[in-house]
Amino acid sequence: MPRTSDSEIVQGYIEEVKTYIPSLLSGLEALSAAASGGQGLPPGSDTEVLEEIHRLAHTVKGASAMVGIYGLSQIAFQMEDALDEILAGNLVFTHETFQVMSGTVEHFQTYCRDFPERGVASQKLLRETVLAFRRLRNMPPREDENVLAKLLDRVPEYEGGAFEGEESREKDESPAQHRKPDIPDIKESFSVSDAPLLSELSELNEDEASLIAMLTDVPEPESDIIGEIPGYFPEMSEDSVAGIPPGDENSVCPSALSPEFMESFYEEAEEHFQDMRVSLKILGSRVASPVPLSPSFREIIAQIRRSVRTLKGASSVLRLMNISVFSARAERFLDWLCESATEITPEIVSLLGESADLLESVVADPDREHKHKVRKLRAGYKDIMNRAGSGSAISPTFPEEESEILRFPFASARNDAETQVLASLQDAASLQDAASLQKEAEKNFRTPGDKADAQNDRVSRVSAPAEACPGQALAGLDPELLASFYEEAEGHLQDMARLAGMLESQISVQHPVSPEHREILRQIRRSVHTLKGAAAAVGLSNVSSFAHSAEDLSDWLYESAADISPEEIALLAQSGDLLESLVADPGNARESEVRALREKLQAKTGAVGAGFGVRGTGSAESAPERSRDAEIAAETRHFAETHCSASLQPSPSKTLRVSMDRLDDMVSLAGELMIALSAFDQGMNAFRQAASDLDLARERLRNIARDMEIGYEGLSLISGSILRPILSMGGTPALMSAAAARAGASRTVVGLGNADSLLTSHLSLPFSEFPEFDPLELDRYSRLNQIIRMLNESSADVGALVMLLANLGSEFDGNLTRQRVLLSELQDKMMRVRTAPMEAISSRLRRTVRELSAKLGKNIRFVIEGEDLELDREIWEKIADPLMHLLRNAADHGIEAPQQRQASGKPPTGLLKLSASREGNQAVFRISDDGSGIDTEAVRRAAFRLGISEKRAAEMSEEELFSLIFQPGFSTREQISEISGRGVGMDVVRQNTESLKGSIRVISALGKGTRFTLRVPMTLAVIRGLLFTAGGHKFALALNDLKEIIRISRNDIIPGPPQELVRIGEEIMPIYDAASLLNIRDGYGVRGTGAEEFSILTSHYFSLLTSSPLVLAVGAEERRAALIADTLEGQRELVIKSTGSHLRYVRGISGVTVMGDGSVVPILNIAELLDSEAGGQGTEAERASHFSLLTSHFSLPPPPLQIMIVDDSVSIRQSIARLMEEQGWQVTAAKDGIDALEKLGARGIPDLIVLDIEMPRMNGYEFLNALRVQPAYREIPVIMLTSRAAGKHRDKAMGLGAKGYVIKPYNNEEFIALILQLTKR
Amino acid sequence: MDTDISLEKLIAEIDGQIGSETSPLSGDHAAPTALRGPASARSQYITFFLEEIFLAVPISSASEIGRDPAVTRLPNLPEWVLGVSNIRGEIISIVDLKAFMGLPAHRGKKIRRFIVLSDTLMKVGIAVDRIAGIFTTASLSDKDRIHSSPYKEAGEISAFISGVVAAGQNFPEVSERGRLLNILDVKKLLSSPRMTAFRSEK
Repeated sequence: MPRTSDSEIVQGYIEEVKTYIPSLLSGLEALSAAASGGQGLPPGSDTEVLEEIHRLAHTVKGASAMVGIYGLSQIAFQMEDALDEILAGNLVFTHETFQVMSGTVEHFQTYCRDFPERGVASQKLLRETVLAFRRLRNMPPREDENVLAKLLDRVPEYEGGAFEGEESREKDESPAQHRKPDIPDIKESFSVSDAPLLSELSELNEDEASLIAMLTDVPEPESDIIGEIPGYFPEMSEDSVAGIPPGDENSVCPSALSPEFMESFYEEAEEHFQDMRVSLKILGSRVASPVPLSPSFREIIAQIRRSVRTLKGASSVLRLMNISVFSARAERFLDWLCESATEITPEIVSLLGESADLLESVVADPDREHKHKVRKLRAGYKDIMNRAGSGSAISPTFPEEESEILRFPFASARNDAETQVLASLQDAASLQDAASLQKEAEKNFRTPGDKADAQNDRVSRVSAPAEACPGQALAGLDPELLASFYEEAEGHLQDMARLAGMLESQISVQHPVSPEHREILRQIRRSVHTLKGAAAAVGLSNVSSFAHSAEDLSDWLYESAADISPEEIALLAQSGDLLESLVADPGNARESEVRALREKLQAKTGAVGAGFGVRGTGSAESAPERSRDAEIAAETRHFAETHCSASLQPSPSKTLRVSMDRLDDMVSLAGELMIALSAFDQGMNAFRQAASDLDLARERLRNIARDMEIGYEGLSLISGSILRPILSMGGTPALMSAAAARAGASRTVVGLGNADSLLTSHLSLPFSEFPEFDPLELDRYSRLNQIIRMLNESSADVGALVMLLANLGSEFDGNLTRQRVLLSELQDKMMRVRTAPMEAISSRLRRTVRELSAKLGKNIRFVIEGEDLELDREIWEKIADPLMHLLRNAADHGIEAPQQRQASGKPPTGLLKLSASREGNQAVFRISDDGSGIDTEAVRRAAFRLGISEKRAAEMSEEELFSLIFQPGFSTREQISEISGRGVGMDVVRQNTESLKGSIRVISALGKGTRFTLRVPMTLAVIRGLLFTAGGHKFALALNDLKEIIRISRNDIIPGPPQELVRIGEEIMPIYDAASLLNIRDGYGVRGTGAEEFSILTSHYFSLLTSSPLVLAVGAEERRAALIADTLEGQRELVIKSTGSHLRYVRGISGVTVMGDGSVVPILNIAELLDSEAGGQGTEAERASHFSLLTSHFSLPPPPLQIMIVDDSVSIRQSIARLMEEQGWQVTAAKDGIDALEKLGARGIPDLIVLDIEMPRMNGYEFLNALRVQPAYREIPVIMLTSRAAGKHRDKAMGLGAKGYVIKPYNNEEFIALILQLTKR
Repeated sequence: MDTDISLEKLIAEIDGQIGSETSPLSGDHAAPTALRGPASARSQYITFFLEEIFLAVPISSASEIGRDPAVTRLPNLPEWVLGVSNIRGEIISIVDLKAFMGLPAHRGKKIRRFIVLSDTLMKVGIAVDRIAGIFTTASLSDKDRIHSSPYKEAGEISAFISGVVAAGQNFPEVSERGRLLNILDVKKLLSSPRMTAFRSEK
């Protein structure tokens, strides 16, 4: 029954109008009273009442047209028109006016009474009204008929009555008939572009079409603009609506609307739905059973309502009637919930949830009817409201719901503001300006404008329940303003906490205010001050009033205090804490705390005020006060302005919440990219190498070509003189070469044996045919000559290619560098997103300590160092608790009471220090106090209590004892205090730390203090590091730890024992061979299996050093050392990875990094290496225990053999290399003697060389010779691998110092055995 | 790069081999007998050689088999930890089981194959000389079921052997090799104090 909703709407609307009538009448009476007092109402006075009446008339006019009561609409229009004149000052409100208008209102009543049932004689009423108003406005009577005719034309003679009849009548009419007369009218007064819109109507769903048609017809703004054409109304009678073919049910308005319009609506709707979902989720989580409707619930509901309301408004502007009708309904329910309901039940929440869902599906698909659901939900609303009503006072604002009557949403009596907004939206809509429409709507919603009354109305209604609950100021506040206030406040509060902390750490006794202190004070003052202003602007009076008190103190400190004492700083800090809790929960006024602190503040500043009065005059005091107030006012204004203007922006830059996982994914992707990029790096090196190899090959090619050319020329000269007789004798090629040999041809000719035969075969023909030609003259034409030339050409081509490749190579290199820069920037930014400085938790820590010290009556100075340490937010979250616990522990157990401290000769104020730093891949937190320390005896006693035998406890070392305190249930306190001592906690601290894969240690000296050291690995860290090789292994080192890279002279080394030292610059530091420091060294003579041999290895190594070894000076904390490295591989961004699930902790390295080729490189933990190596008390034992724990046999695994293969054949090189690698050996290949010598220099000395004899450039014998002359290489065993089986070759090789002679093809086992034998394996 | 073969593929391959090998035999001895004995569930083991020692680990505790891992040695580790390897993006330690069990060490030989063993806490790769195949307890009769560990002396190696399978007609894979198949107790191995000594500093 499509029409039902229509009749429902009308019914609802009439209810609305009824509620207007009393205010209209009383308004008119008030005006009349005012008018009768004087000579009519003076223009401009009492505009408020006038505007109210005007607004109501306007609403009636617009809404009536929409629901299809055209007569009423026209009548109301007459009245509005007149009121316009009055407002504009063109007309005076007289008694007469009052009468006419009262009459009009009576007509309203007539409509209300008769329209639904009996029908109203619209034309008659309209005629009366028009004439009355025209007289009132002194309009010429002769135009009356003309105007009337026009107006009456648009109004049916009778309106209303039974709807059923109408409906059947409508259906009988054909559309064309009725559309026709409409169109001219439309053209007459609507701007042209409305016409297509109207024509769209014919396609509309019947039900909605009627509503839409009504909307389209709302003409008010035209009447404003067009002015002198009074009372235009388009001919949208019931008939014309009926004229729409009922068949077209489905296509709906969106097609008729501007797509951008729709888009922005959907966007907006989506936002609102999101808000709603969030709010509903909160409600859902908090409401498990019926609970009283607390102010915070009300606030949430008000938020939902706001969203619904906005949706309603927007959708009606866009003529999405399904949405607006339903949202109006939901809104009313929310109104009731917000204002009248006393408790909220899960049922209500689920109903709200369903409503939101339905609203969402209606928005998603406005064409579909959701009647069934709508009805169900509506029944739900009614049910709940009735039940609540029967229980307590009936909600007066919610009139009984007529069965199945849909009240028209635009005219909810309790939503004047809404109606107003909608009306203006309609105004705007007909202005055809999408942008201005949006803005107008926003403005009407959000800023106090000329529709102030409506606004006030709404605000007062909203805040009414808030007043009922003291302390709850939130309900009436704009959530957007609040949100930005919180953001801002958080910053200021953090600043305050930080600054107070700074002061605290700097000032331990009464101290004159220094300029630096003053600067800090100034900043504090500024924060408090801004906070105050902002809080006032958003209406958090609790906050702003307390901030005011706090400001007094900071003002005084900043402006007039000569000295500053810790007491005052504590007061400041406490004020900050209190402010923070006030801001966090404005509903809780914390009156007692506020009062207590305020008294203290006033005591301070009051005392000051007196002092001030002595020094200055009264006016001097009030002047800054005034200026400050002005400042506040300005700031408040500024705050309000910026935030209001911000909220006017349609889409302010928003904060996006992203889950940690997604961020992690991106970070690790960036890491992978980095690794992938370094694969390019390695590829580039190979590329460059290949290009230079190609260049070498080209060179060789050219040489061959030249040799051939020369040889050929020589040969042809010879053959020219010698061969001719033979040829002329008809000699054969065989004969010819014999002849050449016989002629005692030079060495060159012999060497060109091949060319020789080629030459003969190809030359035989021309020679035999043209014996009279000198062969030299024929050279140009010979085939061989052509080949030579082609060879030359190819070598030139290859040369060009080499050039091209080199250019490309450097281009790639540049691109790669750029890529790397961008990538590291990306990575940096990504990491920064995750990280936060320690400030994130430090204010919490400070507050804890402060509160504790107050509670315990101890004086504690709490100092935080390294507050700028940036760590993963997740780590901060997890580490805050352990830190807090340790601090609490230190304050409670560690630091003694002031008297006790003084008795033991310590300053009365205890020092508690938290220092945070980054060491390698770890974040290190040290919490130290100068308190009593851990009493080992007490620990022993407690251990006994825990069930450890007395004897065992007595035997325990200090370290063992201290580790006991991390046992569950351990406590040295015989009595449990409120703060700590229950024996829970330290074990939790350890657990928490271990869950972060960290560790905790404690050292303590009785009477001196305790220090806890908490180490947490920094996950996901990227460091800049240096790659280097030592002992054939690649290592990485954080650049932070690297102090200097230098080549030293061997003479700089001061030999041991016990320790080799080196002087670098001014410093003398121990020097280590990097590889032996790490217990891994390959490739050098002695291979020890025990510690003794190990040291021999080291000293042997030093004797082996080249004259100027490369040294990395490293340092961690105060320790310095020099490491000898073999080669440097350059700087790199290194993504630190853990060493896997098995080796969670490996001493001496902070993790590994993965290179582009997938290989794994350890990253050195210099601090730890130096710690274990450079000694210090206790470390020896520690090391021993460490090894006894970790190693069953402490021995060096034999390093793989380093084998060099020198052979010109690639396949031989590869097959030997494979054989060697299968043995786990490492292979270096060289293609000839020269290459081998180069590689010996670059890659270090191999354990053995496998050498071929025949090779280009430098053959095997020559290479052997070269080795002999270099002392460093003399001892390398060499195996000759050759196909020359003759004894003289073997003898020659052995004579040159080869240790073995293997003839190809070799037997694998024998070959391996020989190598093992020669390398003494 | 043929460093990794997927486990499934390997198993399928080996299963295929076993199938062809056993078909003549199973003709004689009818269908494999139903399961009895201590390991009552039908469980599969990967068998392999560690030099001359014939070992088996349950498939359920092996997460990967691969070859030729590039192993990076790390400092300050006992001899039996050969180093770490990047196995498809994951850093996994490679262990010389012989050295771990107190037998002569692997001695820097090339690691040809590895099996990644895992429990809930960690993954450890063990270096292996040769993968022999798969055997299933379903193919065992009462007679040649898994025997409890015969090693009575508390030595390093016996501590981690949960049982042995002797040569038997129904288990040609074992009898063919003519050796005792030692079943490794992976859980015990991975939770042994020496294995878990690297959890944290000290």
